[in-house]
Amino acid sequence: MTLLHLLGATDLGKQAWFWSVTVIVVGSLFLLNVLLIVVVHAHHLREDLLRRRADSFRGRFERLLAEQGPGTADVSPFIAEAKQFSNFQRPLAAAMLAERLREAPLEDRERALEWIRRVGAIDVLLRSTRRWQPWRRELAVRTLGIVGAREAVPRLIECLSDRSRHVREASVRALGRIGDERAVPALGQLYADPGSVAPGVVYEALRAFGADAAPMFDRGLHSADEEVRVASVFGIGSALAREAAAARLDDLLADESPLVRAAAARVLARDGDGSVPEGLRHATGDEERSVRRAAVSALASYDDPEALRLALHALDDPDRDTAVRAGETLVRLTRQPLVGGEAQRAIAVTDAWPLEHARVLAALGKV
Amino acid sequence: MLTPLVIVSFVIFCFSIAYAVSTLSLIALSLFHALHEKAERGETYGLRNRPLRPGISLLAPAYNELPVIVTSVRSLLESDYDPLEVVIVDDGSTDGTTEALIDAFELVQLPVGDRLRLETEPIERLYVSRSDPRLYMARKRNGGRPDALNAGINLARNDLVVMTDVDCLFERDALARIVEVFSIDPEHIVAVGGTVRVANGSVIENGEVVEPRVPLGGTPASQVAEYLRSFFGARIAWSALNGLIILSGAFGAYRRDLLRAVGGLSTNTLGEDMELTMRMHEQLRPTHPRTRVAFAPGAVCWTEVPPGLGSLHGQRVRWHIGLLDNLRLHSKMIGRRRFGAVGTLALPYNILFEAIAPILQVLGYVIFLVLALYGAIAWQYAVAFFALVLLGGQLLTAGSLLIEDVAFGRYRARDLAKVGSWGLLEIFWYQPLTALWRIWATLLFVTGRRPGWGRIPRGVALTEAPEPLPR
Repeated sequence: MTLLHLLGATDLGKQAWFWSVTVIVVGSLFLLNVLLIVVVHAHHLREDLLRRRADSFRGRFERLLAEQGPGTADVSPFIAEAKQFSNFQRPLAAAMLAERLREAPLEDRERALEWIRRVGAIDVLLRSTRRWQPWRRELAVRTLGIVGAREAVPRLIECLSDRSRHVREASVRALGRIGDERAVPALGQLYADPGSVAPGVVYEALRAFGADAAPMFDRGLHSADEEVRVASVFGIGSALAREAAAARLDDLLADESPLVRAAAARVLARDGDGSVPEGLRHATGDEERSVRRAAVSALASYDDPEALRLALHALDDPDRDTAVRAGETLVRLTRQPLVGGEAQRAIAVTDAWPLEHARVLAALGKV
Repeated sequence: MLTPLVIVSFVIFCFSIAYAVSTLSLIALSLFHALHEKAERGETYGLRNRPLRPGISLLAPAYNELPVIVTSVRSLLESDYDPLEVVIVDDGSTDGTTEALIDAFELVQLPVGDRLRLETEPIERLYVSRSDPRLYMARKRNGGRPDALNAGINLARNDLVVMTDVDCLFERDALARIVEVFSIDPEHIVAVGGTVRVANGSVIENGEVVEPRVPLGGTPASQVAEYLRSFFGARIAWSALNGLIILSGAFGAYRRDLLRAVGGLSTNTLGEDMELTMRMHEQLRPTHPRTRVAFAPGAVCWTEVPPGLGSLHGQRVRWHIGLLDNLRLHSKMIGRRRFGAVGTLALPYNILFEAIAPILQVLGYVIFLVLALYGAIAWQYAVAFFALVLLGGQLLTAGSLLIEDVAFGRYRARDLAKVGSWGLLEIFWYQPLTALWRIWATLLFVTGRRPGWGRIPRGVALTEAPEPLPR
């Protein structure tokens, strides 16, 4: 049978097979359309309803917190009411508390924690860390971290291997926020063996442990993973005293990764003061623009004539951004006690545009 | 005599089924990803204390934008992202745009300097704001949008460059959400696009969309449906497949080092945004196969779309010429596995369903008319075909609305109904019109009555590995 026979010329629509297929396809499409429209509107109505309920609960909870919350003498009426919260209301209350306590002083957080314990909310939150919806687990983990629930540390350590990235990251942050030393080995392991959580996130958590985390950062400097080395550079900068950090960072200015070299230069900018380290001097002539930029900016922290010489030289750098930073560094150097006068004299006889650029920005308080 | 017409109409019928199946697959994939992301979504502001949070340079070219420029720039400065700089590039305005900015933001002149890496029309003056030192303005000789953006890329100081238009209204967290996507895989993600939504009809206060609404008029309302289909129905899926070949010119974020390395935007094509994205794929993927161009559906900017058919016509003709231009310029990627989903899926899809589809669509209308003239229409067939196209198209709209409501929930029920209704009517006027405009654009393209082929920048730096962005 040829195609034309099959088509039956203009009588295609009269072919039984064609009509059957068409009815099935069009019918399915129609039903799918109806189904989708129903789903969209049903979902919308449900969300609307939930939003209204949530708004109403938030108002009520806000009033409750203000009138009878953790700050008041007798919290038992509040506790009695809080115990009645439904499954729908609990995560809302948790989110509101987390938001409220995020920047609160330690004292307030401790009081809130005590109150939360009495309500039995810690147990509820711990149970919530096992819910199937990742956002619910993440919210529970985050709240536990914000209120500083030390009894949750073992569970939070388990959550470091949760299947959701958000939950893992929230667990890392929560452990860092609680600051319980039981978490250090687990975080150290995660830091040394990155993949499930970005090293930058673990770095943040470890930083909360201060000098206790220094050995991990120190080991991280030799990691094969570039991101771990970068984070460790910042970690060393925050965990160690200035001289000790500067000694380690100077070596890293010769690291094979430009990101690590640039990070080391940036941390040295924070830790400057003395004479320009050898590594930083080399970094101002690094082959990578990003490293030169960071190194030239770092020079501003050194009250050293060598810093002035290197910055003047960098005004002619082929990279525009490095030259701009050199101008800014020179302006900053004029504020240094030792080299400031010399920097002012040098600037007075230089008419390079990056200097003029920096002067204008300095007048606006940007440099 | 009518038999060939019947065969052609049968081909069009099969083509329509192929289109419906492909597009519905994309919608299904988008829906899956949107739902998954919604279930997964946790705290989105974890970037706040990262050791090397990348800075953003927000670039917005302006040409004769006097009525809106001050409000627009204030809106751009409302973003809560830090570190941020906003660089407005006045592309030789003649209506006082420069002066308005100087007065409103107390601009102070800076030296322009040298060592600008991309070639552009000369920058005449550079300013920085005294009242908000995050704001810079460059005044340059007129050279067109891409040239102005290239000038901005030269001046940008931060690691990420976000290109936009001055009339775009960013949601406060839009930039943080874009950076969040970069931070997922900083080594391989080279560009991230945000969602562009239609601002017409919405309530706007202080440069911020406070109550999203769908306009009543058919032209803008149909564009709402179109934008939802394009961003939520397709781009989420293309991003998941790593086959995204366009980031909207209104909201695209790129790594500055790569922008400079690939030579910036082309000044010789109408679709410079698409051209840049495709060039990044073409130049990077052979040596860096895991290079990704991603989409951040939660990062939103709002823009006014053409309210009438006259201005819409011009826009659509430009877009379609841009598409054809880019398919031609980057044809060597078509069907090539080394370019991943871009070569094997996205480009063939765009050739079939964006470039060829309007021709078949208009051909279908012509055949229908001819058969009607001869009284030879098989009505059962015609009705079936019509029902298929109508219901298939409506399914796409409904699917996009579902993604919008489930994952983002910006609109009220009556707005969703408006989009759905106009979507249903599209087949009677909007689709035939846009198809005709596309045919017109194709004719202009084929006959060469359009901007010249020109030179497309070829980067020099792609022998060197792109620097990964820090997490």
